[in-house]
Amino acid sequence: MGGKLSINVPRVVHETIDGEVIVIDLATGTYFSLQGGAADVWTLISAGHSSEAMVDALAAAYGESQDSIRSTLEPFVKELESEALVVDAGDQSSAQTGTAEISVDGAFSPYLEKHTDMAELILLDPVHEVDSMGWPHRPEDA
Amino acid sequence: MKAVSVIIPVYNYEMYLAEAIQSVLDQSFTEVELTVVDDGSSDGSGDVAKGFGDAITYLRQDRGGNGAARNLGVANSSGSYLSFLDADDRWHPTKIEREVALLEADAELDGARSLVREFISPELDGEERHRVRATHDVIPGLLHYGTMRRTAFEQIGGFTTDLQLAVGVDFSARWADAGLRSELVEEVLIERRLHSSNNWARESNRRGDLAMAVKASLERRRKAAEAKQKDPGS
Repeated sequence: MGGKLSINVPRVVHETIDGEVIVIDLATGTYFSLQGGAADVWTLISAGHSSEAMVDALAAAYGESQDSIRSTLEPFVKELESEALVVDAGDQSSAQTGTAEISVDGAFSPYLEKHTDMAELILLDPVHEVDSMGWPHRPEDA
Repeated sequence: MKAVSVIIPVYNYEMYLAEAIQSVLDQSFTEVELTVVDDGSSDGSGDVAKGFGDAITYLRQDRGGNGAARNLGVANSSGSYLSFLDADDRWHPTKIEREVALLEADAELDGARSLVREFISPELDGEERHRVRATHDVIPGLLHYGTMRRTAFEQIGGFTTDLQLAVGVDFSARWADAGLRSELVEEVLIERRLHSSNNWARESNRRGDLAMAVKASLERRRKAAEAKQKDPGS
């Protein structure tokens, strides 16, 4: 795994609601519920933790070895990247790391619950075309 | 009593409101009553609306969001059909006529929608025009851009008042989850203005509202699936 990742804003909108993290990709209308410890990974990425710092934090929180955590975390992070939910933090990699609270609930087995059933509604809601950062791109650019 | 009640919620869109109102008054379908609900504007939106005199009904509420404003307008209207227009958008003159025709032709239909074309507001300069470029040329409007039976609106309990953004997504999701039906008029009858103060920009701190709408819909479907699992015959 590389260095720091960051949430792919403004393309991605995310919110923790009643303990469940909901992540929406505005370019595709797909949304995700983060399950099985995935919310902890999301929290750590949001707080600016490097990949190795995430391994350390998750190993301590879940009481698992770093190798065990790493072997689970790597493919999950790749999935987050392939879904364009996170991107390489690039020149933001020197940004300070914030605090991240990990709420252990069972074993560490993060996965994305992917939903496309509201894609039409989300893409037809014509509200995401203006942003100081230049969002959006037409969906076909995504 | 007019057949169709049109509601325009407005919050600080004095520049655009007159065009929106006039596009309702210019409808070919004349059995229309128009209510403008001022959602606590601090600009001249109220004066613009009042300038139309008896042609409209003007209501004002403390800032409560466009969902609450639309609900207030509905509560103070009497048409058996309801239609909603955003204060920065405008309609083609046959919008209501076409949508009502669909509803009149099919008593089982709950709502009618039309196609929406986005346009860049003429006052924008070069840089702003680039930033707000249209994401779509023509898109089917969501339900809160269409016309619906009042009974359907009441069945799903009106618009949410918990959100500032994604109120229309939430409404359409609840419409779908309730099994209500709508059909699309295959004509561009609504023009949506792109400008530098669209809701997505000025309510940027409320973007999580879209996730709230999504989560609420997810929870409704999870509960429905649970109920079905407990009672497969239901």
